[in-house]
Amino acid sequence: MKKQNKGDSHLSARKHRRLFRIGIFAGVLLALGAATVIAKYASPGKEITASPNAAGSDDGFVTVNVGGKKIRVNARAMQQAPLTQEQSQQIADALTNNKSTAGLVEVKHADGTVEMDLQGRFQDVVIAKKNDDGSVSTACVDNADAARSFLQNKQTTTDVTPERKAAIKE
Amino acid sequence: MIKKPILPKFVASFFAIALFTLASQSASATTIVILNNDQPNVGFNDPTAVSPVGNNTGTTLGQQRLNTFQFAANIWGATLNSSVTITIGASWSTTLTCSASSGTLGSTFPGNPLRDFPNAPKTGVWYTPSLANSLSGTDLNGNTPEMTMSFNANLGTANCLSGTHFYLGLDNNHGSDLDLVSVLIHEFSHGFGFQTYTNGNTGIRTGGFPTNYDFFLLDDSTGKTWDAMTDAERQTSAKNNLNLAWNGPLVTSLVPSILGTPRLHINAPSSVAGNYTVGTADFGPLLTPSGATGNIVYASPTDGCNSLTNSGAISGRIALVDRGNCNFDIKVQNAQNAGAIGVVIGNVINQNNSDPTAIINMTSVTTSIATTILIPTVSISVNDGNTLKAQLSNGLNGTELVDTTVPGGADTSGRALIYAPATFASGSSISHWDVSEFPNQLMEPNITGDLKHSVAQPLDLTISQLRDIGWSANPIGDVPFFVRQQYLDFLNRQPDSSGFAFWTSDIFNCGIDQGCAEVHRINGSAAFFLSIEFQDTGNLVYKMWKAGFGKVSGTPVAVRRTNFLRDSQTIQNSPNQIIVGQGNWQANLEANKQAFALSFVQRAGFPNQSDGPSFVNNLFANAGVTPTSAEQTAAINAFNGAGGGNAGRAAALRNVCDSASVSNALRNEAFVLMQYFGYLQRDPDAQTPADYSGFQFWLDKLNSFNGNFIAAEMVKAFLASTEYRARFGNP
Repeated sequence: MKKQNKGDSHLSARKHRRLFRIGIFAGVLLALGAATVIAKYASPGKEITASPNAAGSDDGFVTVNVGGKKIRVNARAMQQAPLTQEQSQQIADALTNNKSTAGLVEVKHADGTVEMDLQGRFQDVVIAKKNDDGSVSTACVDNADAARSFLQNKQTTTDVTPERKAAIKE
Repeated sequence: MIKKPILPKFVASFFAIALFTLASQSASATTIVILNNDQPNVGFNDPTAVSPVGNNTGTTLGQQRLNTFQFAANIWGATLNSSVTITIGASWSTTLTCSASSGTLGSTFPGNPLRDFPNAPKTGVWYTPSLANSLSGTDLNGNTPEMTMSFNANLGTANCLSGTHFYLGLDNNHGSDLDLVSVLIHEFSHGFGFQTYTNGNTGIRTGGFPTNYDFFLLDDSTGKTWDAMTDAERQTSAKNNLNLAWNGPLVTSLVPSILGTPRLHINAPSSVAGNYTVGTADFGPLLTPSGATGNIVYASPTDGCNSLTNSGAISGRIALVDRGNCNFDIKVQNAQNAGAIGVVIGNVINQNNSDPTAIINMTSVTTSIATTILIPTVSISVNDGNTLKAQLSNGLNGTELVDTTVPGGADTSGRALIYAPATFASGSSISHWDVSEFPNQLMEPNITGDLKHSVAQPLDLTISQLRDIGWSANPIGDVPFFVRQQYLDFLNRQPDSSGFAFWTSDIFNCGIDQGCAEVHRINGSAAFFLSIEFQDTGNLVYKMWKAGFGKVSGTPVAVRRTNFLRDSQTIQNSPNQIIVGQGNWQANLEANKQAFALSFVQRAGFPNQSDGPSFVNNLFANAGVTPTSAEQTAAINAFNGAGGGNAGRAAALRNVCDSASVSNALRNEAFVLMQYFGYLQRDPDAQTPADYSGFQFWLDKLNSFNGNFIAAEMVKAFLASTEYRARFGNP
């Protein structure tokens, strides 16, 4: 259990940089979605939304009151509409350099080990979409083309291949 | 079926004791720590009160999330062998892109790759940090987590896939929600090395060096593996659909026993006989190679949405049910209640389907129904359904099965295919199995609802893939693998679906309590020896050998393993195959025991006294038992009652073996011997030391604990032994 003390207070400067890069990457990857509401569980194991009650806005953000808490959320993310072409493109674009090897720098350890600082790239991202019949398909992607294809493809749940993985309810 | 054995009271009390004496011990082969990277009151620290769900005992949202992560980590921790703790940094985010219809569920950073570390198997080759640490035996990356994950805290809200939730239960009863455990064990696998650091779009390798994963990516068109290709060749290979395969030896060796093709094979009438393409269900038992065979009968009502009115015709047969009007799980439950042994759902033309050739895959909606389904279900197209309906009066007979001669998702050489679509389609390329694999694999790009929280054979290839790339691992840590192995080792058969579900749940129900899981493994395994099915087959065989022939010369036991296996299988399968709890098993078992005993007493060297008292006394003497007068009388009466001769000897033999004196006297020696036969698959003297000193040690210990195998730590010791674990993987 020697790593159990890997708490935030013990982070090295290098780790801070790395996490910062990862954070930047994640921010780019997942940007513009912004917080919507605080999820809370009303029934076991299921997240149920408490409808946000917008109280005002500034610079694209609104303050909402959820369960007695005031939080700021991105107004754009509150729209209740299917993922737009633009949003789909944002996810895909953010993955454009996910597997790029350009500009990476190696770090040599004292014991001869060589580490490649990936700057947070080479992530595996799980994305999901709703199908026409309400079922949900998921895909694990690591590049823009894959994400774009998955999100923009109007999947039919009656296909056995290639996307036979979506099962239907009745 | 073997479920709860009828246990002596003292055994039940030992189980309770064990819960306390062993609870602090871990069964993990690797410690995997989830590092909570969340700020106070959010993510893993979200204080929102929740009710426990599906063995997740957390009472806050944050704790349930953390429990789910730890449960998934423990699944891998029980199978991977590493002396270096694996740390997974994790957090929940409220900033992941999402809308009402699609979005991001989470992301995983597999860690910075390492090469040329101490003890690296290959020089100039990248390894994921967790694998590099394991191979080197040191923590090469210091305080940095081996992988980092972030998941979407907004999932299920109005603006994020509204109505779709992460299921935080640990029991896989996720219904139409997303099973977070399955998602996590998938993502963990990437971090353990199921991925390459080579760019498939360009073919360019990180830093100019290959990933060890690349050595196993074989392009069937060029015959080259990725490590031996140019960048341009890799770029082409990454899109060489259905021609990029995994050539690791362990995965390849298991493809024939894991991958197959689901089928409805029509046996009769000949005019429509043959294989039919089917869709599958994510509920009920998996299809098996032997399959479910029976005449096919049209349900009434045809949609199966109400109790079937033709149960007399359906019982013992396969029900053909039309799609529509209610959920699939309801249809199958109604058919099962009518006695069906399988269901074929025929697609229909309605508002949801206009394609007469379309084939659907089916999911359950109601968990409480789905978990009761014990019969297999497949679906067929409208056209095929019409073809079969026209033959209902002509002896229509079929089999629902998985055809292992045609492994789904393998190349012509039987190697598992890697997902490499010609144009990057849904799912990433190169770091997943191809979507054509059947049954669905954990490491396909789509993480489907029918996954079973297993990473090992016979369900899944993942652990073998990780062993191919250098991990030390053992599938016996995988719960479904472990349970199935108990059936194979002690009952000489594949598990029945209800018993299998019972015993896997019995261990999984421990949730994240690994001490509990270890105790339930031990007790569950011992239950196979104590079960009615084994006591009335294998243990009866042992007692018959002892009573009939005494000890094998030069040994303290009554039978060699070869003879024991032969006889056990005979009494289990001839003339009837016995699965306790299924069908008319009591009568069938009795018939088997009678037949076996009658044959056994006619073997050469078996006592052949013609008078009851002499014969019975000989049997008790061989068993080393002094019977009570009542037992002696009962055995003699059995001899005489059957008319003497072979029939009398058979009746008396069974009576002697069933006597309390014989059962009690032989219980411990039979129990210890079965540890060798079952766990180690050998006679006690088959390895150094080539004698029975090991057997005697355990027998003495078990006797000293008055047969308390838990206090004697006997089953625990066998399960943890290097010899046992080496049967299945890296010990």
